[in-house]
Amino acid sequence: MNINLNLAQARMPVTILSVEGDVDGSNFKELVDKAQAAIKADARPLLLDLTLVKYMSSAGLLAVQAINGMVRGELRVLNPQPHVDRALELAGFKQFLQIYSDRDSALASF
Amino acid sequence: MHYKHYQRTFKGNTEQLTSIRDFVLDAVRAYGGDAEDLWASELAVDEAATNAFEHAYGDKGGRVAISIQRDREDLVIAVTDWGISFDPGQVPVPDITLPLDERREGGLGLYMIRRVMKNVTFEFDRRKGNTITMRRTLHSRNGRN
Repeated sequence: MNINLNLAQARMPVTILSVEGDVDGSNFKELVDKAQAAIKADARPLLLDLTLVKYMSSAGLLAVQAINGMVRGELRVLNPQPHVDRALELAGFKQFLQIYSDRDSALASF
Repeated sequence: MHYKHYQRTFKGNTEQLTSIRDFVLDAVRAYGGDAEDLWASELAVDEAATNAFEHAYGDKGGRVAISIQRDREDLVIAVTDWGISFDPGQVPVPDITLPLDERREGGLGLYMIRRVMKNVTFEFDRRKGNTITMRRTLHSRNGRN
């Protein structure tokens, strides 16, 4: 799993946390830690880009839950792929997350 | 029709999860599983193996054995560890209607297994190990017909 941080300018500066690779029990803590470090450095609001994540287990979902809690809802999720979307749906996450399929709409929502 | 029985033991910790998922995908693909079968099976085995590595073995790591068979239209998948056993009845069932920040921790992996597989059973035996066995009807949305 690779994680990249970028800043985008919308109505306000938005941090984009882009994840690449599977998120499972071996690496979800790394995702939480990277997000936590960014948030401590004032990286709010946050856009979590899941375009390049093909698979996520419940451990990855718990990371998303933790990040959502850290930014107190100032989170948008971008482009979950079919199996990640199914996992979000199964775990009852979709109705509580703001999920977008394109970057511009996600950024404009802040 | 006779189908091949896929069995493999993985030693270590959660770093093995990618190899475990690849093994599951190869077997289910060979049995003719569709995209949903492939995802459901890799998810269920990943969750069971993660529980074994994290809870049964703690930080020490250990052995996890995976068995995958086809019984008529069903996949029969078993995951065995030789660590500390647990009482499935004591695992909390997450309330997925609650907002994320109001949810209690624990039980999400087992909950997801039960959503994609049917007839999830547990056996605990000092010698034979702790085994979770799960079935899934091929080409079904939720593992059932």
